[in-house]
Amino acid sequence: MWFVAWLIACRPVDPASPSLVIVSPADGSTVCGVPMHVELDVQDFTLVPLSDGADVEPGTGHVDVYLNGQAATMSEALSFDIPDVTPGAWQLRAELVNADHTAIEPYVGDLIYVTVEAAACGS
Amino acid sequence: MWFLIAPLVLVACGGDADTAVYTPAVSFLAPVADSTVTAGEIAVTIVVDDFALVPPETASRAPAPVPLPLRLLVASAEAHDEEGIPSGYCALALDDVAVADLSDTQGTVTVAAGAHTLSCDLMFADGDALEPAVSASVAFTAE
Repeated sequence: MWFVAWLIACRPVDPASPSLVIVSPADGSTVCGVPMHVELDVQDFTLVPLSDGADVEPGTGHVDVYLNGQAATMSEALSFDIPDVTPGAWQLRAELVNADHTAIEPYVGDLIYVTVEAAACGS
Repeated sequence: MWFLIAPLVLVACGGDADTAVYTPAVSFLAPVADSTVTAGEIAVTIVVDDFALVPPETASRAPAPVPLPLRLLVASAEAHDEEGIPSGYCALALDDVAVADLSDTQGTVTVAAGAHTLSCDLMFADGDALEPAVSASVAFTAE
């Protein structure tokens, strides 16, 4: 009886597993930083407009983006620009978060490394 | 029966923690470990997680009408126990000699030819070290 109750209460609620992949830039690539264009592939998670976090609905939220571990931007879109990324080596990390900016459980994110060069900003 | 089961279920499943737990970490992206760079000004890149980089505090604190030791304790508590992500800077040292305080993940340092070790210690903005200490180091050669 106790074990059954524990199993029922603790079973996964959402069978779908959200995923996030950084499609562009490619890992290890050299890119322009003015701006740095980013494209994501997100599955089984609904991106919704940024809010004050008052309503946290499971399976919805936005993307928090970090450069070298520091908060760079937030996005509700799969394609966005990060303006004025200076030349150099960068770690780009994107992760799915709830509307109130807390991380979803379990963690879903992706991480790549790129080099920003002014020469990569073509005409 | 359920009033007996419910508390056990809560314990078994674990309650949701409303308080974010931050685990500051730092690592070097550049220079690359064991690499050879050109002597002179080189790029330094660090990755800092769960710790917001901000400039070191330079403004002097107004004296408070309390004994110095207590004042320091109060100041330390105010500086380090704020809610939210901890913040501070990276104390950068080249071969154990302080060279810069980084409040950004990108910086430069000038190195002479030879073998070097670059280290970064995360510090609170008031200059206090994190406890336990959070640091990283990288060895490289300049030619």
